[in-house]
Amino acid sequence: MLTRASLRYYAGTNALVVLGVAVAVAVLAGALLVGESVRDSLRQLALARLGRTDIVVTSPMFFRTALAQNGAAPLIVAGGAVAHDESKRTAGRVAVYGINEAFGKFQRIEGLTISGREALISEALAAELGAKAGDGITLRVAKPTDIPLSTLQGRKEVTGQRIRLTVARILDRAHLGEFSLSPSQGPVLAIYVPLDRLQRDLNLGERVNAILGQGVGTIIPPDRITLDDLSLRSRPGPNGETIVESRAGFITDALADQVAKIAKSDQRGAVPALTYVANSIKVGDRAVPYSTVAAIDYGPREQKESRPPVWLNAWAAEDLKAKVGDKVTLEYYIWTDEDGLETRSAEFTLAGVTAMDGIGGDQTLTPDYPGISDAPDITSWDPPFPVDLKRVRPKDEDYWDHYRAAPKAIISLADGQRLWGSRYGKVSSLRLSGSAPIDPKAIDPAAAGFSTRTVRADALAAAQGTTDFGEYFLYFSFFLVISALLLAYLFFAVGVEQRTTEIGVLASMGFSSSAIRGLFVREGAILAAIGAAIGIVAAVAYSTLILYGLRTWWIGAVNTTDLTLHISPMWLAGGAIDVFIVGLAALWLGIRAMSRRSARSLLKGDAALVTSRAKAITKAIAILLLIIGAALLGASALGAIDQTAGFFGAGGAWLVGGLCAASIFLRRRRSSTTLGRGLAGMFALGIRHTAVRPARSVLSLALIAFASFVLVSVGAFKKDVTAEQNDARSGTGGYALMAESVAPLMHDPNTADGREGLGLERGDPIVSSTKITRFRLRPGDETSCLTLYRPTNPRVIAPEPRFFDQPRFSFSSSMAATPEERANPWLLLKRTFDDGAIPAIADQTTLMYSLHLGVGDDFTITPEGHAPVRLRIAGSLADSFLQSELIIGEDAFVQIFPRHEGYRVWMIETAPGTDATVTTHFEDRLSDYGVDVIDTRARWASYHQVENTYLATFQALGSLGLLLGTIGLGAVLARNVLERKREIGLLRAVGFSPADIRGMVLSEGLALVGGGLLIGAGCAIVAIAPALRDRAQALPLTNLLGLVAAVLVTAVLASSLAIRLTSRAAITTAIKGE
Amino acid sequence: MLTATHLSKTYPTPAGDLTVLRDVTLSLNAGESASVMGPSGSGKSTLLYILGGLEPPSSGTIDLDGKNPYALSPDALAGFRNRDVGFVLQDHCLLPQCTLLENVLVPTLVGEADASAPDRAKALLEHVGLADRLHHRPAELSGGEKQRAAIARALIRTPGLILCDEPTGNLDADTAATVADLLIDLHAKQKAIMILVTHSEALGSRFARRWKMNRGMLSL
Repeated sequence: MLTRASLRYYAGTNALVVLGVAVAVAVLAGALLVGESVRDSLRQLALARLGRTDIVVTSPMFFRTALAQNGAAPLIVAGGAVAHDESKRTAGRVAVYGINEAFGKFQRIEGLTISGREALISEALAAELGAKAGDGITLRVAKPTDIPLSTLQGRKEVTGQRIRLTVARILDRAHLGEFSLSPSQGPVLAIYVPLDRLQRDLNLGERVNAILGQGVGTIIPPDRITLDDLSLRSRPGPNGETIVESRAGFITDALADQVAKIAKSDQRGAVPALTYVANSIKVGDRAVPYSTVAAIDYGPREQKESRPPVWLNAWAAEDLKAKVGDKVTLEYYIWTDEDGLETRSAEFTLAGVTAMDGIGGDQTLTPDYPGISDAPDITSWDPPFPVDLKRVRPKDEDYWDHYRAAPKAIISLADGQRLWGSRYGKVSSLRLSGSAPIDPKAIDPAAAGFSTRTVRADALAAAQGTTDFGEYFLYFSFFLVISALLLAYLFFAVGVEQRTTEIGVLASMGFSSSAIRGLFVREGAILAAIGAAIGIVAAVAYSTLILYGLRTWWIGAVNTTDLTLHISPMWLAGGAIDVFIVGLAALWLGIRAMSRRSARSLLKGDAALVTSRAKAITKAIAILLLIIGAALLGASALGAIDQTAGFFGAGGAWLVGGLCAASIFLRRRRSSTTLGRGLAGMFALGIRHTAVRPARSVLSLALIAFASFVLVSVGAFKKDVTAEQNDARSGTGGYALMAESVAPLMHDPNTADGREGLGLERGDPIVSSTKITRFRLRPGDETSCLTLYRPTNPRVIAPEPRFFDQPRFSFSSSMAATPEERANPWLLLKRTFDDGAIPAIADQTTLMYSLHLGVGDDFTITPEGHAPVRLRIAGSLADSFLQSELIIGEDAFVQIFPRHEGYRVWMIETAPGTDATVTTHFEDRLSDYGVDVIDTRARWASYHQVENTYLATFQALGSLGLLLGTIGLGAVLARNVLERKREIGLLRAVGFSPADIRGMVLSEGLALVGGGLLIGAGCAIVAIAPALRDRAQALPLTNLLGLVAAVLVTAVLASSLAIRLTSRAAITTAIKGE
Repeated sequence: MLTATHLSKTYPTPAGDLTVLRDVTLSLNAGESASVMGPSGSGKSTLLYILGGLEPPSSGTIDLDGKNPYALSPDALAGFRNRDVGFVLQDHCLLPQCTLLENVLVPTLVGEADASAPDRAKALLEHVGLADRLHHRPAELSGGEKQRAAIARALIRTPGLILCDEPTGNLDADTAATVADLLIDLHAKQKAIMILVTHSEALGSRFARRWKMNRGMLSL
């Protein structure tokens, strides 16, 4: 009965309690809904972009199209660059898919059949190029090569292929225009090209490098794999043996092991051989040009001499007039990516002569090399290295006619592998005894680089997000939720204070403390339940608004408009229940305090007297928090704890401590002082009233203080791009531009030879005016703040040695232990760990928000055809433009990513004012490599925009908190005026003018907002001090002035309702208290 | 029987201890009544609150029919007030959200269940002349009507001790007389002990026992 009657009678106050709870539920549940909606949207987007693809099988070496069976779709997947023929607009990082009719059938989509030079492009690519159906475009892709580019036999000139196409259609999402095997939420630049066109132009025959499949398990029937699919071939040897070779020239260690195991299990001998080209074989002043040398275990390798043994065939021994014991010098080329082509030599001692009808004339020791093996004579050779044909003698041609590429010299396998072994393998052939063929089914396809990715499962895992968006918005909304709960508590407490006498009467009638508490808690529970129910509905509206904001005002944070609301009853209920419980607990605490007062004081309607014990506790808490704050500041200054955490902790501790101190200050016993006269007197009277209901005043202060703290501190973290162009320590590392190519760039543009190798002029003035640092690249998942997906296979780059000459960028932390490492933490990339982990460096933002790693943590990646590799974070970069990649050492890179050859990323230092010229020049002259150049500062700024957008969201929600504070303060002031009706009536009766009364009320409002601002903003300045110092920034005065203006407006608005109430009642009515 | 022995009450204040009651001793039997008169601040209301179990004394004891309320647990003390004490206060303290009938029935919401309470409430309200205002809210009544309702509320549990703190203090002379008549009449009917604090000489003189309070000391 009482509960129902009280709820009806105090409906006005109760409505405000319900409002507070509803807002808290709306914000909390809404934040959780936002998180679930983003996750769901990312899931739907990733799955839509996969079509029906569950798994994809890939290989770094191309394999037969016919391997795709049972409805699987073969295709070529590559990266490319596209240019619009007419407008010359270009797009880089384009996903290129070579498809046939099987793709459309697999995806169950009509209209994906293309032929000739037709191409289908995605809507985003069409927008980027300004292209429409019928337009001419030029696609540039890397030319696949079986023989690795970073070997002597690899063809390094013009590693890109240009293909002219016509846009047949622009594909929308429904027609898989956004097909993507890696999840990302941004626009997809994709192009579909006829598979046979791509195969023809890239000279691939009938080969592909990927198969799409459905379901789980293998989609390549094992009995259909041939040696050719594994990049192997076999042929009979001269003595009935079986010779196994690779299309790549070298047989990889993994495949060589597999073949050796098969031979062993078949009880067959397996003899490895490595054959190389020597520019000269010299004895004394006589030389034989351009001969092959075979490294194979032939004779005894007793090394009585200081030089290792060599055997010449009879032809070479006779031509060189060599005899056993003579010094034989081999001169040969070696290719290194750092220095290009070098000539080296090695000395041997002649140990013997081999017969031409035996191993001395065995042509099968030399694998087929395109451009050499099929040449009719030596002068027709077309090798990928320089040949001085003037050195070729008629007898050399004669040898070629009779013996072709039969090695003229034999050295031991160990010596050959020492001189010519590479990361691609250490043998060029394996000679198995017996003529039985090698069964390809016995070879593990993984050894040949085949890998299967469960792209659908990976996409679902990645859609969980880099950081839980719900969690993000919960943090952003934290103060808003607290403010709303404080508001609800404030109104409830005001309502309870209003009924002080009623509580006393109930006590006098025999209601126990628990019975009284029960009454009010029942009321509070009903109000909280109503508020929660309204809040659930409002949460849907709030989250709809937030998602709208993410798609529009804050699109910079998410880079997609594909976010839709997903209503999850679980999250809604969870948010509502959480607030209900917290709110009820707060109400119970408030009632408990009230019900513990004596019935007498309640009956008299006395304000709650804080006991001396409570005062002492509050004082102790204030002092403790002050000490804790000071301790945190000291620890931060000494570097014992993270500076940002320390200063924020100190600011937060002092914020709460400041509110406790305000509580003590308001409750202090004043000695008699005069109030003054006139305006000063009115103001003093108004300010004095804040101490009448100190609990209410402190709650109001808290609302304003929290909002001020958030608004001031968040504003300090906004980032600008302020670096000087050539500042090596800045976030650009002193590089003005970054170029990325589709095809590997094998030559060094900093040298004349390198420029010539790239097809540029040797003295190209524009390129010569720049300094370029080259990086290797293994493409992968985006890791910067631009992505919402959790990266599992990040982009990896590795710098060439000259990068370490000068310390670049700034580090926020690292494992540097030596003075050299501290001076240049990049040297950590050269460190070796006993457990085999590979050091890596990344941007701090990437580590914190995308990978959730810190310095010292490990991250496992699985390179194609390689065992999983552990990367250990050795350093984190402070705010750089390198958010999109992990950086490792070059030695480690070439070991674990051998098929990602050459350098595809150039970081370019330019002369002031030449950026645009250099960009145009590089993109134009290196278009065959699909080079795309970006401004590093623009890239850096785009990351800052994302971060600033998140901060803007935080500030927007903080502003909402300030709005709630205004509402709360307004209600408190209005309540205070209503309670002081008689007092105000008396003041007016003794001659106070309405303006005097207004000034009194306004001063109370100003005192509360001013106090809240002082506490909140003051503590925020403490919190942001290190951030300001690190950026050499002054106090954010614009921010502060804006905040002061906002809170002044708050004070006036909040006081206005109260002021209106003061002038309503007639003086006599007010005095009578009616 | 009500016995109070050597009651004292001291309040700590920032300005030093304030002694409001000094060594008060009194006793009354069932059916007896007394008025307490004295200047403002003499401790009259404090004495009433202590006797009614609302405020523990700093020293001394109270015994009502063999029970010392301050020896009881807090819940038992509440039960004591609910069952054995009825308060009539100067400011009627009716709950504004409840009707008159509901206000009278408020004490029956706790303690022992009493099925006859609604009938008794109506009878009491009829006795105090408010039978036709059962469903009116306090805001719709005059001061005298509210005080009469407060009297009915105080008697709903037929307490053994009725304590009245300036029950006519806010009323005009005629209304005060009506309320006083009601109080004395109902007390006589219930055979309870009644102690009434008043400034009114006219009201105070209607009691056989007239006690004086001055500076915390009671003179019988």
